Amino acid sequence: MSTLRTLIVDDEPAARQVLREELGGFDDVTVAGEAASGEEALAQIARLEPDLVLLDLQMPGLGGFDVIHRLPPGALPAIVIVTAYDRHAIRAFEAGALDYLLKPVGRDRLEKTLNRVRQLRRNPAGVAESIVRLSEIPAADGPPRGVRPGRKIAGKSGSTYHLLDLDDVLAFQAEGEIVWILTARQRFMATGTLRDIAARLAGSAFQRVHRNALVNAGHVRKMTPLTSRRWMLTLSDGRELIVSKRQAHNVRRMLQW
Amino acid sequence: MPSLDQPLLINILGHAAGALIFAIFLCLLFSGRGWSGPRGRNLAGLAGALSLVWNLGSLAALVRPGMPPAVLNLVVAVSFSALSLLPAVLLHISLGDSQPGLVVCGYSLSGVAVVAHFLELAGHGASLHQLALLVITVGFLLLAGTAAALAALRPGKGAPSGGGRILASMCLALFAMSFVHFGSGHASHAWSSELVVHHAGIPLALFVLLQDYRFVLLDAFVRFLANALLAAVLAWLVIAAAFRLALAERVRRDPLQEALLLIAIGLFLAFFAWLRDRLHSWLTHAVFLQGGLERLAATLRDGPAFSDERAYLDWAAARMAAAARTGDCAVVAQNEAPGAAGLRTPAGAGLLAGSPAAEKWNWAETVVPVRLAAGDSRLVLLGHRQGGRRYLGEDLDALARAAGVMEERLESMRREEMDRLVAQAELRALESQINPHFLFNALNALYGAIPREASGARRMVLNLADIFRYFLQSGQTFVPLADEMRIVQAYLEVEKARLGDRLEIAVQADDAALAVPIPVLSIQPLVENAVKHGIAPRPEPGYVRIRAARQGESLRVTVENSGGDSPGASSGLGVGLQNVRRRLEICYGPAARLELEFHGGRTVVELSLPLAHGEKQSP
Repeated sequence: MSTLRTLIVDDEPAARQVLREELGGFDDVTVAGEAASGEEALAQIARLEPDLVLLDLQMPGLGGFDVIHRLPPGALPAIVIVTAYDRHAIRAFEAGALDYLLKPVGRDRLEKTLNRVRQLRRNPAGVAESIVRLSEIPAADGPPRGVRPGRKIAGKSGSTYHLLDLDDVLAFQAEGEIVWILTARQRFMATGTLRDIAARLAGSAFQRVHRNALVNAGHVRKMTPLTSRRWMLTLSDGRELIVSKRQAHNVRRMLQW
Repeated sequence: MPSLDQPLLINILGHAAGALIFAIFLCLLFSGRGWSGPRGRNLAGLAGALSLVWNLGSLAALVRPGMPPAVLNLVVAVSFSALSLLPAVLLHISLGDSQPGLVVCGYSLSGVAVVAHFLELAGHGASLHQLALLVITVGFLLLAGTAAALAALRPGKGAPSGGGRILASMCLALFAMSFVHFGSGHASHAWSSELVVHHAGIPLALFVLLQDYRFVLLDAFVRFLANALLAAVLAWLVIAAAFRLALAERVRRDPLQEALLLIAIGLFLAFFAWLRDRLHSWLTHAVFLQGGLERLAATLRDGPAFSDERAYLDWAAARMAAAARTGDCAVVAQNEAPGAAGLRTPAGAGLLAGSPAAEKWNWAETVVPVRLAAGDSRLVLLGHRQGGRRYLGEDLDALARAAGVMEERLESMRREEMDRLVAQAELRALESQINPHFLFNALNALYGAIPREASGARRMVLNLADIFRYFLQSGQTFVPLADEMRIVQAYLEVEKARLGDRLEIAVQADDAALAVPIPVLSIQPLVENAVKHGIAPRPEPGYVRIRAARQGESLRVTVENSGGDSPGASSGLGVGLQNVRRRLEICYGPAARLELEFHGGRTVVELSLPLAHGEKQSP
């Protein structure tokens, strides 16, 4: 069994010590590193590429949710939130069936969580989905966490999953069973069907332009009539899509051109 | 076109109307609508039945004069016997129990007349028949006069006023006088005084009967009668018009005429409905005195704020009584009056009959249900209205609306109280004084500071954190029993660490019970109480045993502890238990039970909750 390389993120040394001690009781878990702030956590995640991050929510500077929104590109770790008391967030975790730990964390509870993490590791798409769901938990009433970060979507490249900003996505394109997420740099495989994605993105800048394509209206740069019934959309990276006139009008209405 | 100048026709119509009226009366009386007091239903029923028999018998004799003489004589004897008994019963109803002598006299006279009628049947000639009628006439004239005189001399003794009694007696006298005309054969000319007096008995008997009858009966009755009369008059007009216009002939010749006829019938029905409504509202305003309850609902809605449910109920009942202009009102729990179970709209007080306290409430005329929760309602009892007013259909509707307003108010009061009680039980007030982040981070640091080897101490910190978290952040009214039991377990472990061997713990919960939703913190306070009163103050070892199991349609939780053989000391139940009891009452009404018992050296608290209620009330 592969070991779980774990990063502990908490601003309180005593809290980190408790988790480190408790994790020491599990043979297949190693503590790869510790971070005392959100900024440090982001650096450590990029550097260490841990399998699991135990992430405190309340930290000075970048909090736990900020860390999730700024996760560096690359393979995604499983993230388990650790909190002392956050009624709002806990309600959201429970609604999204996300695992979380409450301080003080006892060994029994930690073991249950680690079991779930081990199962989740066998399903990278599940890890990505859980992070997307974490990223979608709205801010508690209280001071807003800076500018509201954009929404995320998980995409697969090779064998690793990435968390993508929806604003960076140009379009979704279905090819048979596979749905591609097109970004300026590369394309990723989406985790759901085009229909699921369209349902989840309802009300956003994404517009269905074809039976098998959703396009980000924010990235449409040019619309040219080809024939009486077909138009060509040019996206910000120069990619061209042929769509029906009716769909093109939908996009135009959305952009208020 | 039928003519209204044949004595036979008038007689048949008169008796048919009489039979119909008394049949309606009997139906109303025994259907329970309009019945508003346990007293005298049998007498009224008897009087109605006698009138019905008389009318039916006379009708039979008039319609089928060709019956065999023996049968005809029997029918006549039975119908006249019924008629002879009627004044005695009416006198009894009219006098009540105030003049037993007169009542006995009346029954004796009737008895003599009945015997005379049947002797006549055995062939003793028509003279007996005449004699019997004379006995009734003279006898009841005297009795009615005496009764009227006595009522005038001793006013205020019986229930309806002396004036009503006198009037009833006079009617009875008039009724008795009509008997003189019987037996001399029907007059040959139409509309003779004989015919008029003959059928005057019907309204007179009704008047006497309705003296003691709640107006609701008259309300329903007069409305029914008004409907029937209106329909009859309109039908007669239409038939007359149809005859005059020779419609049948025209329709046969011309389909257009047929269409016109159908349209006319439709219009006629619509007109009937409209006219009926107008008649009803006119009856309400003119014949029955106007209610005065229209503004009651608004008054109750805009009433002052009350913190206590009972105080609001009493205030609202007093407002209701004031609006209805009655001096008597009371608020009682529905389970005190089994007859009112499931009552949704105001009704006559007859349904209180059979309640253990029916005697106490014999002043009540109307019962207004106020539903608090499923299976839990209060009844507002209202007494006799001043000025001879009655509880009419409109008044009952207004009372129902007022009860609806009360229900809304009470529901919001209960919601607020529930929130307050839960907050109190959960020490949520702590949240404003202790920063929960500080508390749990401090407990976390404490946990870290305890060496791993001291597993007992670490476990205690975990338990404390669990307990505080449950108190602070449950934020909901209902939780699964499993959650509550986990906290009970944690709480007992903390107490065990404190009390050591003095506390022995046994917790047993069926798997089937663990998923049942229960009001948050409804068991922990019982356990806390058990430790506080049963174990902590005593030097000797004791135990706390908790059992939770589903039993049929309820969840039963028992908390048993040693000690507590002094009921006097714990009779106050404690704030925590009072809080639990009140919240159970709000959530489940009388369906939930919380009982505290002392059996030689141990205390048992038993909690029983219905299964079905929880889910629908949880947020």
